[in-house]
Amino acid sequence: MNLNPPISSAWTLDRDRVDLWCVRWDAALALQMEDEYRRLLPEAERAACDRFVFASGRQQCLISRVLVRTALAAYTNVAPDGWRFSAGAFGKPQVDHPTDCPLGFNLSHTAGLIACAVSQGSILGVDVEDLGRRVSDESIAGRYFAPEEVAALGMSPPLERSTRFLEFWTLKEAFLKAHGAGLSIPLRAFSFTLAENQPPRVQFHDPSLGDPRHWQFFAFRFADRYQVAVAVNRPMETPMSVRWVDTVPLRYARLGGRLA
Amino acid sequence: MTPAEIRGQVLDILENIAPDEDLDSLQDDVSFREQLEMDSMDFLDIVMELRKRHRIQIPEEDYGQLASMASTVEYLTPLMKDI
Repeated sequence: MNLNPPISSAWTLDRDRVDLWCVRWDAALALQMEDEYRRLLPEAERAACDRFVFASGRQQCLISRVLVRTALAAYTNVAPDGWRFSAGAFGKPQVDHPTDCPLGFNLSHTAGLIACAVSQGSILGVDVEDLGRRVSDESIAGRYFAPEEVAALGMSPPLERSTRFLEFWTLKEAFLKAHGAGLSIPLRAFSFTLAENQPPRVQFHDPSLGDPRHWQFFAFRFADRYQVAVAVNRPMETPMSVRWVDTVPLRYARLGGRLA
Repeated sequence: MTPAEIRGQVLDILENIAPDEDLDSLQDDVSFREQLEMDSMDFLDIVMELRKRHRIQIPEEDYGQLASMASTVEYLTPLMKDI
């Protein structure tokens, strides 16, 4: 059995770039990859996927775990089945083996899409949301968002409000995931300003979050159906870009193009 | 409310957030996120629903205690015993 993905050559990743590996769920399901994915994963990870109550959860878990392995393997000489992971203090997954891995990664999924962001040496977070998902935008924003974000949402046209909410939400979630402490950081402790054709700007209202100039944020629409945000812990004076990779793990990985 | 009644309330909220799903096989001692396709937004929906239905305020620093059904019921029991 060949566990290496059929990728012709090792990929390279500059320090000033984030690669976003994207799996369209229907493409992976159409190729009936489940058995191959199960064979690749160690027993503990298979068991973790089997704990999901519903088949869709089990499939999403399998694809996600194989996606991380194939994406990281593409930049290294470690095969997809050679990686070991553990959970950080707040449950954020991290690489245990190889021990000197310089790559950062973060995963997100929503209906129909699973994405894995990979960086060279930077801590990062990603969030993807289906723009068609049901959202309690007004109650979540009113209860949890910073006042200036609530005001910005209030000024947006009613028909665009849930989309605008998801723009804020994905940025906040990407930052919390990069930071690693999750929802234990209040969502109003930091706020974003969104303007047409400009990268999102962040303000920290809690000094313990550090210097906002040490962070870069990207927000974009993907495939007309998803809102995506990426947060990278890298100073603003070294601007980064994001490109995407269209993949079905263990089958193909094609460079998409620049997203932001 | 008894712990069993509190469990029923949490289950009812989960069923509203994930309609058409059968939660009979939910394991109480395994985290919600490890067995349901829940994300942070779903989690906040649960917190807000508890607040709306039972006027329970849960501070952000306690959110970690709502990871599984067992830990959620344990956390809520003293808060809901007089409801």
